[in-house]
Amino acid sequence: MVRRTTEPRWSKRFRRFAVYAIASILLLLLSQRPLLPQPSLEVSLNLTKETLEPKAAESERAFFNEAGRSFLIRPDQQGVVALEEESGNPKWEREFGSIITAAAVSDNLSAWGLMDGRIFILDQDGVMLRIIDPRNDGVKSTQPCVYALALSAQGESVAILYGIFPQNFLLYERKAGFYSLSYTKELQKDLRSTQSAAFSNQGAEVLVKTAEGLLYFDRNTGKGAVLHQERFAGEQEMLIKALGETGFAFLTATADKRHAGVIQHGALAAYFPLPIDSYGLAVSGDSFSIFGQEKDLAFTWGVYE
Amino acid sequence: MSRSFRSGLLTAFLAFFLAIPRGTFLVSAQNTNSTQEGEVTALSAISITVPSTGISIDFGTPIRFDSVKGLYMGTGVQIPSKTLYVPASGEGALLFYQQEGLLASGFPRSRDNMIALAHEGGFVSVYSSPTLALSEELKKDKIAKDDRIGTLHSDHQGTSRQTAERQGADAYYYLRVADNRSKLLVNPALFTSTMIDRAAPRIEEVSLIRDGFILKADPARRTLQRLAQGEYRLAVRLFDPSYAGGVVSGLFRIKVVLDGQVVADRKFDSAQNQDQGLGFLGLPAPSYSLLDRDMRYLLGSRFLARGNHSMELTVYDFNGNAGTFLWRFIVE
Repeated sequence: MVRRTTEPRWSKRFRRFAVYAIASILLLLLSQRPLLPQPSLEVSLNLTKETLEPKAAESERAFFNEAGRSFLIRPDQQGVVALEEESGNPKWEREFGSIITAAAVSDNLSAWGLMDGRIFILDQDGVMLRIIDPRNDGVKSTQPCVYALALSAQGESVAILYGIFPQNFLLYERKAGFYSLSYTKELQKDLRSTQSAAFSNQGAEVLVKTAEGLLYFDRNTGKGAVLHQERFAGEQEMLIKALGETGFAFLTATADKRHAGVIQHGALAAYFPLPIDSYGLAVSGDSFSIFGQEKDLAFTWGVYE
Repeated sequence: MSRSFRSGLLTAFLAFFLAIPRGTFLVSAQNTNSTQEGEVTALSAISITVPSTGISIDFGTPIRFDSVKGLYMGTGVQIPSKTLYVPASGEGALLFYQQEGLLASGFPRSRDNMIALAHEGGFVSVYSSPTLALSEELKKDKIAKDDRIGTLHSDHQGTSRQTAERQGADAYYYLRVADNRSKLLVNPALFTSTMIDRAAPRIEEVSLIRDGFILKADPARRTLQRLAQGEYRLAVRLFDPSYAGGVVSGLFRIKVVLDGQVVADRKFDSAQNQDQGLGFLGLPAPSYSLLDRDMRYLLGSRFLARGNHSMELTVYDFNGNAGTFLWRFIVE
């Protein structure tokens, strides 16, 4: 015969309460301190001037430098001359039927966006590989013009800020040698000047400055979003460059303010003010430099205890 | 509603959609719109105007540039500004602007700052100058003709703005007109009113070129020049001087008559926006393929058979002033 014993009800309640209380306290403690160290920025001052010289020292001629390649823009902005890396001598020359309004360069390709809305993709010898004309793909912008261009490292994707009435963000993907339109986002507001845009080094993410804010698009998920409209909407100037494998570093400028920051996986991971004389951004691996008239600042993105 | 009436209504509804082809109404509506658009285009084509006082048109004129080919062709007109303001050439909207930025790197401006306006009918006017600044009060979506779209600074360094204004045309801007619908860059002379230019274009050199051999025409010689039979390319160096230090209406037409027969009659009325660049005089792009390093226009090739020949080259500016060159030579 089994004798059944009954535990007092108050004891059961107490045990349950105690378990919940301990769990809550643990959760509270865990939320206060992350299990792993969070990535952050390390700042170092660099008083010596490096790659970029102050703008006043630049010559009358307009050079476009990107991905270790250098181009000379023709005075009427309807032509471009690729320069030899070592000697700086002209390597090849290309004339366009319309004015160049945006450009992007990778190791082996260059893309040139024109005021008539077309994008010319050239190889490293200046030979034309493709012409992208969004009007042929049914993009409805009353006035064609290319305002921003980004080219992924291998040239498999091209991101474009295109046209007005309305302005569109377009993403073209290369399949079997041809570029086809894979994503379109119509924007409510527009910008009428050249904007900055960049693919991440892995090529899966792209970031473009638009009138509504920073437009972020993830090719893997096929989803895009406009980030932090309150901070990045409007006509402020911006430079965006790929940082590390998946991130972006940026520098913004208005008449009286400069800010820099980092975007990681579509989220604003860092945002901070800079001296008013800051004018340039250069990225190398996980580090980026902000160039100022008086001093340069170097930042390294990483995991710090 | 009775049952028979409902079924009848349904049948009529189905019959309506089956009998009438899809999109009929939509298509007719689009056609109406395109007709109206065409009418607007015809009107708007003449609504762009280019000032005609003191201007210098360089459309089709060779310009030196430090590059592989060393040359390209001008496509616009240099316009003086007495007020230091840049007016809109026609009604339109701001399409693009570019000026020296707060940030270095990114995509740079060329030598000039730039403002582009989009007009009805696919026309775009582009204004550029090293000192051009976008007008702050500009309504970018609704710009009326002659609205102030930009401001220039005096080209004279160290002088005040008031001094510059007193001096008049201290500042210049460059204007180009594109017809995106027709994929053309149009000679801005076609949008001017009466220009006062009585100076004829000068023919500075006429040569025949074959495999590196150049025979430069010298009509002043007492004996006729001789060359071997073969296919030759005509190369000419032209210049349109300013009239009394003022207007240059620009080179506009080149006519070549060989042995009484017109072999070339080409106009600088527009340049075609081709995949390879700009095509002038109806010839293939890029524009610099039409020029050699000595700033000569390389016109078409022609086989010259043995015998006496005469060539008459006539060059007109936009105002119709003509310069003529007559050359007699012997092919052996």
